[in-house]
Amino acid sequence: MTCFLTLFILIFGSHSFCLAQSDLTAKKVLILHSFGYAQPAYKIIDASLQGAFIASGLDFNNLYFEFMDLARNPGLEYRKDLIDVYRQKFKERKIDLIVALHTEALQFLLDDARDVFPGVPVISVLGTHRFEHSDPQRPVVILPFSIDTVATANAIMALKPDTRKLILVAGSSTLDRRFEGLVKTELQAWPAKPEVESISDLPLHEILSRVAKLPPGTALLYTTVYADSTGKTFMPSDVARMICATANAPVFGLFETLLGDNGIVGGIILDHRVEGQRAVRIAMNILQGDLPKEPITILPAPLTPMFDWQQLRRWGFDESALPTGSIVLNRPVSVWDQYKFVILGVLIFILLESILLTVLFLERRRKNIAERALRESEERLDLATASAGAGIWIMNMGAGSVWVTDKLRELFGFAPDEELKFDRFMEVIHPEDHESVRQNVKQSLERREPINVEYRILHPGGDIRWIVSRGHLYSDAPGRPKRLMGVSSDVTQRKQTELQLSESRTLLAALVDSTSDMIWSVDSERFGLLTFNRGLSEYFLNQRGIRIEVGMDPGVLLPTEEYAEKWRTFYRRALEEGSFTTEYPVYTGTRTLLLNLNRLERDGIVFGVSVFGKDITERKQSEEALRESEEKYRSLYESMMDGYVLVDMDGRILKFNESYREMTGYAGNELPGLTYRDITPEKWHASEQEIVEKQVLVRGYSDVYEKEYRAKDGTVFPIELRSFLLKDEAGNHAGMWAIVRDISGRKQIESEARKLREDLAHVTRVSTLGELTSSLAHEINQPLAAILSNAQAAQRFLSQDQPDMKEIGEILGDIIRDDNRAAEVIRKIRSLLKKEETRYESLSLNDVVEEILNVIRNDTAIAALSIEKEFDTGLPAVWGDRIQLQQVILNLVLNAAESMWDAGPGSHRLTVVTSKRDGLFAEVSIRDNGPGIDAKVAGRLFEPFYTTKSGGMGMGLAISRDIIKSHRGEIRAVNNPDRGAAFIFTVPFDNGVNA
Amino acid sequence: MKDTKPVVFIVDDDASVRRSLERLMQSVGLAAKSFASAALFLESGCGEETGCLVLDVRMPELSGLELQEKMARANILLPVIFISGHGTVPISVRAMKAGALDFLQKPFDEQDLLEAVYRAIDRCRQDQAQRKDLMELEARIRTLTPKEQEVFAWVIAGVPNKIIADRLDTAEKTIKVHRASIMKKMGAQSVADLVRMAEKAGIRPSPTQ
Repeated sequence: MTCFLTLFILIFGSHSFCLAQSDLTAKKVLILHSFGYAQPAYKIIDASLQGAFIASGLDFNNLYFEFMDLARNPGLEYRKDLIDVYRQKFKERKIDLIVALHTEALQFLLDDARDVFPGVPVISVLGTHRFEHSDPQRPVVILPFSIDTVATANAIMALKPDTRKLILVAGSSTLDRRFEGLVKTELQAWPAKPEVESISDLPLHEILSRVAKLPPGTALLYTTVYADSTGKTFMPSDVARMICATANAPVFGLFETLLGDNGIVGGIILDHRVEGQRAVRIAMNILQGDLPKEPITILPAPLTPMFDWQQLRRWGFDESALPTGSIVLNRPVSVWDQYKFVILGVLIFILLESILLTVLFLERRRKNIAERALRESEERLDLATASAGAGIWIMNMGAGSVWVTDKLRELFGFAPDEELKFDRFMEVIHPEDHESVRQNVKQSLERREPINVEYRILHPGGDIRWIVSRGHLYSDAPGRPKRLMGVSSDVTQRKQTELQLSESRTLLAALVDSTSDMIWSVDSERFGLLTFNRGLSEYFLNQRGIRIEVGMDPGVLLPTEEYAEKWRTFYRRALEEGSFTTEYPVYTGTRTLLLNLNRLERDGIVFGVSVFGKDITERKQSEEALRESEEKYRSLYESMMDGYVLVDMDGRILKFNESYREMTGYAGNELPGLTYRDITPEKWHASEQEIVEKQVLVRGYSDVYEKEYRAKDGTVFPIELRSFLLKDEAGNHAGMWAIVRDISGRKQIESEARKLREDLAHVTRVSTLGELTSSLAHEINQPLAAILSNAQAAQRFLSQDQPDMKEIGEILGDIIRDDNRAAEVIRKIRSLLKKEETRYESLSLNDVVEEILNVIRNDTAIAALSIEKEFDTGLPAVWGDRIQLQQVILNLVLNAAESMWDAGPGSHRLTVVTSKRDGLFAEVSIRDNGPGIDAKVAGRLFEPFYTTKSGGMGMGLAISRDIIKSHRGEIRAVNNPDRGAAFIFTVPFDNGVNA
Repeated sequence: MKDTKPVVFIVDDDASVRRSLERLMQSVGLAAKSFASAALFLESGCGEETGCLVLDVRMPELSGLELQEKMARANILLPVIFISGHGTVPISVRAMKAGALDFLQKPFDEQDLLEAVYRAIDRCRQDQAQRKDLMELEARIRTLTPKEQEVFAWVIAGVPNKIIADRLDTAEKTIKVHRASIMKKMGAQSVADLVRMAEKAGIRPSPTQ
């Protein structure tokens, strides 16, 4: 920010500096926002406007910020009130210029508030050129809001060249649709290959689940979601955050406010800071009196490629593929990244120190050796000095010739037998150092001081070396220098290290100040501040309102003596132990610091303590929250009645609760060695594997399904479970967990209930058939009567003189047919009377209905009805028990018949309809034209023992309901619109998997 | 009305039963005609013949009583034999109430049915004979003058001539002439004969008081 402002001043500042300071400080600018303070863009723009205005010389107190909040307060009355407020507020303060954010504010100024700020120029930021300029006397400059979808799409392709599909995510509000429409239109002009798809019509939760499993080669382009397709409203940045967190593909966007915490990778974006600065630049021109010539000036925005560093790294994007001029935000703040230079610096420092020590040591030794060697022999001296890396030279002041050792020749790159003079040395010395070497030597000679000079030489190898030369002047007589004698050694490495260190120190200082962590040091006596970084001073300024200074001690810095003493204890401990780390809750208890204290020593003398403090409140809170939630879940699953088990992706049991262990009968240490397949009977393996592959791995969880476990003692028992997929932070499959319920008890009860139901159904069936005795008797008597009459007629025909054998043959045929008829009737009745276990099979429902209607059609009550059948002949087969379904139809038909007869004689009509329902069910409707169902009894119809009939047991409908329920169908009763009632039940189609 | 060969009409919705009954009737030399429903029978225009109706009581569109009423209106005097496969008491009671001559439960022995049929045919003949007598009597009554009919009502009340003359305000001798004419026209031998005829024809005696 600071550097941005500097840049701004450098580039744009010239105008403002031309103005007299006094003119500017009196200028008043109103910054009028259309909407509420919470608009994310406003925060950035306001900061930019404020910074740039002040930098241009305006007085902070003359900037007025107003938030009209028009979106939440539509309506004329509100705007009238606003005008009154502004009129009051700015009566004594003449505004020179207005910056209006969003078009609504502009329109407000031009229409409603025309007379409040008459003629004041307006700069409309984030505006549109679609507005009505109803106040042409007033100059208006528009900085329109704009997006560049095509440039963003090209950036996506550059970063992610394998993109085959670009998915648009937007919301369903008018604004959302308008933006998306704009984006779509722009994309039509995009010549690149990827397919573009919009998933904006989905509800948000579906969008989220959709973006979580996109195929590779997909990128997302997010515009806005103010409301999703269900009409639920959102903040677009919140939705962006959700989508970025969920999506398995990179998300790009067109708004700056989506960057950063909201997680988009980036895009070619309107930079609000730049817009703010543009506005100020124009504003300054206007305030100088340079008014726009036209009533409306439109200045389109230059868009900036902006990307988020973290997101680029998350998706492995190459920064070099970014468009030129890209701004990369949010460079990382990891410990290594943040302190890389500190660590390097320290290492370099240690290295340098050891080198210096070595050099010093060597030089000292070399000096001794040289003196001794001179006294003893030049050869030995040469050998010794050469082995130490130093060359010796002796210059004869009179002749100007120089004697050197072989080592020195090597250092300077002279030929072995070359004759040397002083000038020859000057030839190899770096031209830039000529002067300093000359001066130095000259000075030494004049003052008769030892020579000590550092300089660069150009080595014949082409590289530059640093040489240090030290020497003494020897005289035969006072004032008459005879020889200059000395040693030279190569210090290139040391010089380089020094340069690097100095560079590192500069960087270190910058970094120490740029971190929000706190770094400081105190002296070892009274623990007064020695040094501190900006992090610490800002902390004290913001939290405590104290401007800290060097020398302040804990007694001054901390609010209570108790806390001051605490800090003294910390410092003392650091002095004793050298270094330690601790967590420290600050005085107010609201924040936690992680402190790292180090004893500071120089030359073996302890002089203070350095402290590094990092605010880890958020981390602590999330750790605490995590621990709490883990505990909560642990206690929850431990106390659950149902079993809980966690397995890895190979099915090996990792964790389980006590209920699970108890259920399986294993000891706690035996289970972790097993897989869930080990304790599941073989016959379930295939079907369970399918559930895992098709449900758990696909959508993260399974339906509730039933299977069996084999306990340790070999008992097989039924269980019911639902499995869930566990993912780690990176989204990889980490395991599966399941809630498992032992349903032996329920199965037992279910089976008993089924038996009871069967018994009851049988009893009611028998009793219903009992009621039908006369009808059934008729059904059998009919063929019997025919048989008897036929037989007797035949007898007579036979006793005639010439019996008609053809007639007799026909008679016998009829007899056989009638006999079969009687047998069939008996078979059907017996099947209804028989007590059978429920037997499900694939059935034609039409046949089932037809058959039972035939059995009962001769009942007196039924026979006198007119029965209409409307069968759907295309009805698929249903899955059910023939006898039970017939019992239901029997009950319903008899009920209908009885209710009609009870209501008196008349033309009674019964309609039996079969049809399809919802594609999954067949429906049977039995409709009468009787009195209908009394509203008072409607709710109780299906209750057991509830009857409106004098002789009824009240079980018919209750049994019918149970039967239909066990078929997974439904039964209900309704009154027809005209007259009478209808009883309707459904039975599922045979879907082929019921068995 | 001529005395023809009796016909047994059969109404049953069960074709097999119809066919077997037709055969049974044919085997004993009776003519048989069958219908699938009572309505079809009524529509056929049959029923003037001597004979009987064998009727299955299960008649969806027409109850027994209704049929009886319709037959009366159509001047069909056939006696009805109800047959039923149900054979429950309430149904037989309902059948008899509806005017059945006999009630038979399926399956029935041929003898029972044939006896019932013969009985019904006899009954039919009797009914037809009675009806014929009555029609002759009514024709004779229609030959009496109004005055004679007036005297006739007094005579059958057993009122002496003198008192009839008083009541009718005429001479006793005139009454005597009327009485002789009545006796002649009606073909009666005695007052007792006249009384019986009057009863049969449903003529009420004049009140004596």
